[in-house]
Amino acid sequence: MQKNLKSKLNYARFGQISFVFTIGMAMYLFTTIPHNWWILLTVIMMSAAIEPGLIIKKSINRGKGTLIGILLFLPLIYLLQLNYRFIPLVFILLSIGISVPNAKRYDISVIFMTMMVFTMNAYNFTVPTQEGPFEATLNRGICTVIGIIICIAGDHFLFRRFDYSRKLYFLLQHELCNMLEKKIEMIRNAHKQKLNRYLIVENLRESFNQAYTTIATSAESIRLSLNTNAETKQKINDFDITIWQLRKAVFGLYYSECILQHNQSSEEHLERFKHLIDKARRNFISLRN
Amino acid sequence: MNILSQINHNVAHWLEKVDPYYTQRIILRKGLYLAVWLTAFNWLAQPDVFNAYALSALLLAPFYENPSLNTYKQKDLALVFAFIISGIGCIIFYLLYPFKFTLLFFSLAYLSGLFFFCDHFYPKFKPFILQTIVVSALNMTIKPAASLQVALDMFFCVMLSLMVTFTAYKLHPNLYPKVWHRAFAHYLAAVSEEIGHAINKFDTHNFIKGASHLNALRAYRRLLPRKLLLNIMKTTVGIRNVQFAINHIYLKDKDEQFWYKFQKEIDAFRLAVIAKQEIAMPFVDANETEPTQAYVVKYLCRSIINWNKICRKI
Repeated sequence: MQKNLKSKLNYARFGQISFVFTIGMAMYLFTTIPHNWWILLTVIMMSAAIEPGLIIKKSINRGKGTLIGILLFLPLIYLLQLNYRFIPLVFILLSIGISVPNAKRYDISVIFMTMMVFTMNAYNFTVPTQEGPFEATLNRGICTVIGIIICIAGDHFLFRRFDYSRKLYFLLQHELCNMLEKKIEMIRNAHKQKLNRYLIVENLRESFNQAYTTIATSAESIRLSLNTNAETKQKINDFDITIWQLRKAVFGLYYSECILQHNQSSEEHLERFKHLIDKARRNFISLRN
Repeated sequence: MNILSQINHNVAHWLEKVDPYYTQRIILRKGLYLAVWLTAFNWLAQPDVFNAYALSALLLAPFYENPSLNTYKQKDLALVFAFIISGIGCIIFYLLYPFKFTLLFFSLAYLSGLFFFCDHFYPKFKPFILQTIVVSALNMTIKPAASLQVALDMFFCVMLSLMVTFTAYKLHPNLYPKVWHRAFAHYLAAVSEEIGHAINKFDTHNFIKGASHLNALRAYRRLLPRKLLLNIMKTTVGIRNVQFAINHIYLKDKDEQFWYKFQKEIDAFRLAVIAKQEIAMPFVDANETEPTQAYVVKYLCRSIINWNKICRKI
């Protein structure tokens, strides 16, 4: 079932990207909206490397960033006219600015991106355009809004009905619990199989960090989703607390089994683990609201 | 003067808040450095299609600093792969641009091909696919349309850009010890906090902050310079073992006095790490009958010995 769900989620993700990409591309190729390239750019940049449930947050950042970018660029137009040699320099600095903020501050990246695309126009055109700065600003703003609408529509029509975030979280809950049980088995058999202690720690860290970070992002996406009810949110919070207790129980078991080699302590940790894993499984969310 | 120092302090504080591991500042430095190289090569080589030369580097070079690529081999592969598929994409999108319907269906097929290729053979590259398509699409409107000569020029401009980016990054000094240094100081703070929770038997909190510091340590450890690598690893492993041992005693009755003293030693170690100074061995008497106490003191000492060897070189 899990494998099936995983491939379904993968196809759903591809469906969303290809849907918004095709609409964006069609808008660019077949419409006469001024600056329609900006629609395609907005659509591609918003869909890249993002979980569908978080698209609302990204849209807000995108809209905010574009607006501030445009406002900051207006005085820059007049400053750049003082000496046109500033244009490539400003262009380079702005493009570096795009990659400097971390993924959480997407709005700052968008500010730089907006300003850079405007400067790129100043750099590329050798003849003055008929469009004034305010007109260009307005056109760009409208294109951004159209791009955002396409992304949200893609998210709404494909993912609200498919309930992507919920299914993904459910899958991750299963995977996490299975992984924890496997690790317990591995620690229990470490002596028999003569496993290296250092390699066990490496293995634990690798799997735990990966799984815990992914599930935290997914939980955030469901919490932000507007159609998540209070009961589900409560279940997610309870599950979150339990998995961190489970983590302590597994690490504690590793220490008592592999370092101290103290049977009684190992049994205590194991008992606690069994109790907690039952509790975690009771807090799995249901697939439907 | 007072206002200036206040502003300076506020900026430093803000920087530490938004960029706790120094990674974004490394990106800034590397970005400026690469821009100098690109400008120099632009003067020398005068590439025919400027957009293909400049924009491919500006949009694709940031992949190199992505934390999901945690070895030099992975970084090099991602960079070369990104530039090559963008170069091929540039040619095809540009040649098909006059045939708009064909381009629409082709671009969808290109996206699907790339998505499923990466899904099967190169999953780490999946988040970057759309950015390579932006580079391909940015150059498609260049005039004259659909000229094979221009298409080839465009491809070679992208390759020139790859060559400059690759060489520049290979010659850049290694700044990753700074990332380790900051992440390690934060990790020590998280471990100290964890000891506090263990003393109070408070186990319903999460360790997500500590885990993210540890993630940062792990993501950059294979990028550290070889001469420091061994000591850095031993320093980190010592504290990591201490953290493992704390999980064992979490809900048990424990000698609170010892653990308070031990927490103070960890805090002192953290201050020494922040100041990049040597620190004396801890004065904590471990109870011989309690193996966990002896274990944590042993590994704290081991960690400190290794830190003292490298503190001036970070």
